[in-house]
Amino acid sequence: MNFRFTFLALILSILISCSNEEITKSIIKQRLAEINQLGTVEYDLSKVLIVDDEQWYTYGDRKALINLEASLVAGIDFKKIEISNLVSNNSIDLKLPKPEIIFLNIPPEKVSYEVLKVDKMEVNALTFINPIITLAGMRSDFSNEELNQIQIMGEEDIRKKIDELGILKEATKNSKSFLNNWFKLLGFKTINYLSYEQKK
Amino acid sequence: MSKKNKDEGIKNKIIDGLESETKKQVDELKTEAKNALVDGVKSEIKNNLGLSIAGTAINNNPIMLKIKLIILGVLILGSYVGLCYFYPGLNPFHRNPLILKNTAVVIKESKKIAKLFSSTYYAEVVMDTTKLTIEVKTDYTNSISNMFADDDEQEKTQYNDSSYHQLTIIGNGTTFAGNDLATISEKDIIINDSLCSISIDSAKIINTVINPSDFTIFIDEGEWSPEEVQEIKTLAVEKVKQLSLKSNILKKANNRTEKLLSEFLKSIGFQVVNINFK
Repeated sequence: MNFRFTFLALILSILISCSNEEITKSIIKQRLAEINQLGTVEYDLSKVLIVDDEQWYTYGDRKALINLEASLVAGIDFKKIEISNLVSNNSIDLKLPKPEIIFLNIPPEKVSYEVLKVDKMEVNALTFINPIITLAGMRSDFSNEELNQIQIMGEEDIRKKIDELGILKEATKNSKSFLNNWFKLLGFKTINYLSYEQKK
Repeated sequence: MSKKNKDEGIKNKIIDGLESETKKQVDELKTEAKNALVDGVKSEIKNNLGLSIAGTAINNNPIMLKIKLIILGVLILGSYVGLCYFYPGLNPFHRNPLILKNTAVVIKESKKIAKLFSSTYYAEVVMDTTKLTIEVKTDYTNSISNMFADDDEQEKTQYNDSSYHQLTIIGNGTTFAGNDLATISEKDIIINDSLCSISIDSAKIINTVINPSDFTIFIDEGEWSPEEVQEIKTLAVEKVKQLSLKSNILKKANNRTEKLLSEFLKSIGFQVVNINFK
């Protein structure tokens, strides 16, 4: 009986010592490390980010024109390929999982600031006073945080437009093409693909 | 009989007399009580009237009116500020957020690939950068005589002006490693009954990703040009890549690819599977 209690207490203490946060983090990292994706399509994309920052109570505009280039890889989860009706060295039925974006990469070196225009009114108060007086209330330069925020908006916009670009359809098409070649090299003559909805 | 009647008459007279006297006394008491009540009410009304008159006097005081208006104004302003805090749209000076104009995403190139992403490495890196700039400046304001002298003849003092700049950026990056399956050709696959042997290229780093949303600018003091910030972000990407290599990401990727392909090939009927890395 005492042994049982000690064992239970030990298990409980181990469970309590691991906080939920730690468990979640480790699981996420583990899942990330155990990636099984087959990338079948790679896209090089570019987008021009235009921001016109106007406030009614300030004098002058702030405009930014940033060009960013991104690369995107899409594919399928290799482990989720379902195999059925296998006839050795002859035919095979495959059901492919839904395609997904493996990563979108916007490398910092591919972000170029084409125009950063800030309207500032400068007044030479009197010629014999040397410094140029910049009136208070004028527009300040874009801060680095604001510039990063603009890039984040660009990144979100690219993610939103992925469907429109037909990248995922292309990923499925290329997956089929790769698997056809591969299974033919492995000796199979007929490879059939079942759609997501189609029952085996 | 007549005597009896006389006595009764006297009795009645006495009773009547007593009755009338009692009535008189009761009436007197009533009027006294009435008077006392009226006096009390009167004095109460008087007191109240006096106070209200005093209140009116305060109300009519212009200073008190001003104080009341100020308090009211402060209360209204306070409530408005409170509302603006919770509903920023009510604040006319609320800074409108930056809005991106709708532009197209242009496809520059698309490639057919066959890369098996078998391992990733995640790291959070902190890029703490400092710089000291020294600028030679000229001071003309050291003498009153400068006011009357030509530009070339003005007395001047040169001095070094140094300033310290700090930039701290936090980046959450992921390195992807895997094997290129597109390079497998017929000669790389040997099949002998239930034995399958495949030679594939060893794992490589495919990409290290730190997107703008993965960066946090923690400290930005002094002057840092946007280009300098981008350079530091590039260094952060390189740092994550180096950390992933230190954690043997390529070896892990090869092991996982071997396991994954072995399981897959066994599931399609091969009993013995050999995966070799070139």
